[in-house]
Amino acid sequence: MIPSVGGDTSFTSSALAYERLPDDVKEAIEGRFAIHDFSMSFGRAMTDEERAEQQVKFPPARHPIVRTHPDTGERSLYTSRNFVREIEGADDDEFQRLMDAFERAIMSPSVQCRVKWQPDTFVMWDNRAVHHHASDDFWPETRHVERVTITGDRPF
Amino acid sequence: MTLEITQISGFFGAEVSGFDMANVDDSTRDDLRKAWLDHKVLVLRDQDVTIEEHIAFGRLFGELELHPFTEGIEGYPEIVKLEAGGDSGSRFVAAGWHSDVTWRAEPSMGSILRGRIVPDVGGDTCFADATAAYDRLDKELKSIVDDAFAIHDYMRVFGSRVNPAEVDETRAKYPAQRHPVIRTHPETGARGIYTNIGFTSHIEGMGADESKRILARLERAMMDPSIQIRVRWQPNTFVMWDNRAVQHAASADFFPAHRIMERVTVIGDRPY
Repeated sequence: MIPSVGGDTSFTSSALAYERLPDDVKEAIEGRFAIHDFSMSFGRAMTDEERAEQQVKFPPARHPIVRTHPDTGERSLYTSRNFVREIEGADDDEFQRLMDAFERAIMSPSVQCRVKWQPDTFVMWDNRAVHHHASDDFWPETRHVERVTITGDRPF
Repeated sequence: MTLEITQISGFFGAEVSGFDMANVDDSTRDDLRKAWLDHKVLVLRDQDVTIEEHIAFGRLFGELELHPFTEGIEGYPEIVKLEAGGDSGSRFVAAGWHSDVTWRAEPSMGSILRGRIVPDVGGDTCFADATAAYDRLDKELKSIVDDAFAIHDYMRVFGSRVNPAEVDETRAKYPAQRHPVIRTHPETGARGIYTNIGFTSHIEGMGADESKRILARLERAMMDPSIQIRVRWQPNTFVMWDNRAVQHAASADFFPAHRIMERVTVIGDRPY
């Protein structure tokens, strides 16, 4: 179910976002890892008990900040405000500074495209190559979308 | 003529058809003016008009600016020509979020841009709703910026284009300007973010670090796709936007293709 207007999904090329990072940021993140945690987003609506139970099943994951695409070899930025809880070896200040720089690169219109939905539109994206974002500009209309998600492999 | 208006997003933007830019009567002009205020960005398709008709269309909405730092078209000083890629030798694209000519004392009310040569793919222009962005700021940030003023300076972007022998003279003619960080739209009363990383040098009365941090947070608010639209150009597409209500950024993703845009810019009044 698609709103009459709004609810577009925007995509960013994660490789182009990486290329856009300032050189000092690129140097600072080379070879470093980030900790991704579902409780930053999905966990917020859970009770403490539910969250604890899910955290056993889905412990925080450690992934490279700059990921290499296993099929194309392209290097790209693999972080997001929704899931990244910490950057290994970064204090609060550096964490915020780096996350801001990542976000500024990811949100540049020059590395994005934007999809307007119609009923029976499908969009398939490569999570190893792009970030995506849904626009919450359609209230009070209803937006109902359905997704299947193909299993991937461990980022390197 | 009755305008056909199709909204582009939940907050702003509309495709408008059902009229001819070269033949606008008074009532159509009034309808366009109202649609412009309501939707902030109007996208007009398949308007096969001459340069003279583009300029005349702009004059329906006010007096037009002459831009001191950009290349025009011989014989048409009102046109700002934006060219990049192809054999132009330029790769300058206004890819950062901004409102036009905020370095003026009385910055532009609106801009009307034509896609003259558009790449087959890429070179979209994105717009962000300055009021929706402002509304989404957290309370703490609002309280910091609500009554603040910022300094805008063309030298940050166009400094390299000024003849070194004329720096003082140009500076005297276009001194740095002080505008509210949050501007009130003179016609709708809506409040919106009016700083940009390109032209805004700093926020008054703040340390350099804090000023930089606050300007970055305001830019971050403009960069939220939820309050944006993205316009794909075709030949003879025109887009008119209200510089008092939105910011825009062009997508620099089309090289080595060629892109030529032509703009007329309607004079505005002093921001408050």
